[in-house]
Amino acid sequence: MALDTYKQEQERLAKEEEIKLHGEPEEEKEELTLKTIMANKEQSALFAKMIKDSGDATAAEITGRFMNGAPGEDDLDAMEEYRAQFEKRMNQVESVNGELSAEFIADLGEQSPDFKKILKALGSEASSEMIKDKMADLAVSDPDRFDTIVKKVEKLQEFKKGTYKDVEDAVKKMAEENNIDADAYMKALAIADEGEREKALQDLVRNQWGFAHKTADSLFSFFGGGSAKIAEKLADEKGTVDEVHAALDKHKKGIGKVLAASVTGNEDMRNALAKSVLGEPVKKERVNMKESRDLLPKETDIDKQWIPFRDAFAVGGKKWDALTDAEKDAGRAVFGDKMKAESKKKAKDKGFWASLFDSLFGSLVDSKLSKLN
Amino acid sequence: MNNQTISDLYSKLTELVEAGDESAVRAFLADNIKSFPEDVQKKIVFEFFADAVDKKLDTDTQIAQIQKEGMDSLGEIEKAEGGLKDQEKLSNLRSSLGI
Repeated sequence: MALDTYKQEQERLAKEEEIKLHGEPEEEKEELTLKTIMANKEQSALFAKMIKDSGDATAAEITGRFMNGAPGEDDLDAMEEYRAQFEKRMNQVESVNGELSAEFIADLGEQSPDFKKILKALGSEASSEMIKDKMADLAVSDPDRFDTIVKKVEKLQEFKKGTYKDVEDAVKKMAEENNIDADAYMKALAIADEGEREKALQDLVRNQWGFAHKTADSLFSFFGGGSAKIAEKLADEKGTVDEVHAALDKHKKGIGKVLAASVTGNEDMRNALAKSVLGEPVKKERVNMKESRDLLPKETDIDKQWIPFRDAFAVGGKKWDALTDAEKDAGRAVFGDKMKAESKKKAKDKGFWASLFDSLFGSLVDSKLSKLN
Repeated sequence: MNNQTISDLYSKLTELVEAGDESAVRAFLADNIKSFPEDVQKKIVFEFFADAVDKKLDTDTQIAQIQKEGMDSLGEIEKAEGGLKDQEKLSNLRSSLGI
């Protein structure tokens, strides 16, 4: 009995030592098998989508057999590559979705009044779930865009850690220790109207603090030549040592004010500052709204392209009028996919408006398909 | 949500797009978000999210640079102040020694 207790205690201590040395062991994750994928409604739909988008007809056939619960003997091996690819994607989705909390999404709402309004109407929690669903969808339907967004989200998280955080902590400490007075900034922040507030903040940064349209590189260029040069330059300009001290102090306070106002949480100020450095607008659309609209297919294109597609569509030599209802539905689905693929291709890497119109066009196609005859 | 309503919303949106006022289109989407079917809501929310990620990344990148440059500059000023004090001390010493 005593020996057992001793052994247990030894094992516990050895485990503690191991955790101390190498951290908590990672939980071993079970491999995502085709059986598990098919048993899950969302995952099987995503897997089928990935296979469909791959254009691999054989794989699509095999997936159909799995979904119907009757795979052939060699089907498992034939699908291994796709299974591994899907597992990798799902792991990435799990990882990025862990970052897309309601709090993170609400924080992003500060970037645009319209997005903020949407989050208010739907709730940050529900919106976060919608975004997570869409990320899973994007991982299989548009891996390039998925990867781009993942990288950006990771970069945003990086700003909260490491050297970026160290600099920000130093800014906060400096502001506290020097009792930086940001009275004009606080006054501007108190303005209730969003548009007016933004204007007041821009005015503060550009006119009162004097940072109008300077690049980040030249923002503090006055101080760029090293401490000896600064003293020399000010001494040349001002003459007496007292005057140089006063001038240095004035510049210190000026920079301090900007920095104190730039910390995380002061999103309005951070946006105003970034805009002043970059000039308007902070983010230029790759393709503007009207150009996007002209570039992408429209509602009228659905009707226009349907007739020639229908007339050319045949199953086993049978033309449209001779097809069964199921065959006609299959034809409509092929047409819908073709229209959506055309739109998606044209919208790729074209920015907000093109992506938005592409998304809406996809829903419009879906809503019209059953009526096409 | 029936197909007619989706089509109506899309037509109204098209009208606004044709008029060319981007902020009016954004406002229309935000004001009517709950009128769209859930799958469309999801797409709209996602596009606004992706747009906000881009904007925040631009802002955070600039702010990080401003903060770094600003702190470096403050360090330089402090060094310059230290240098001035040394000069003052040297000057006082020279005066006291009558040099």
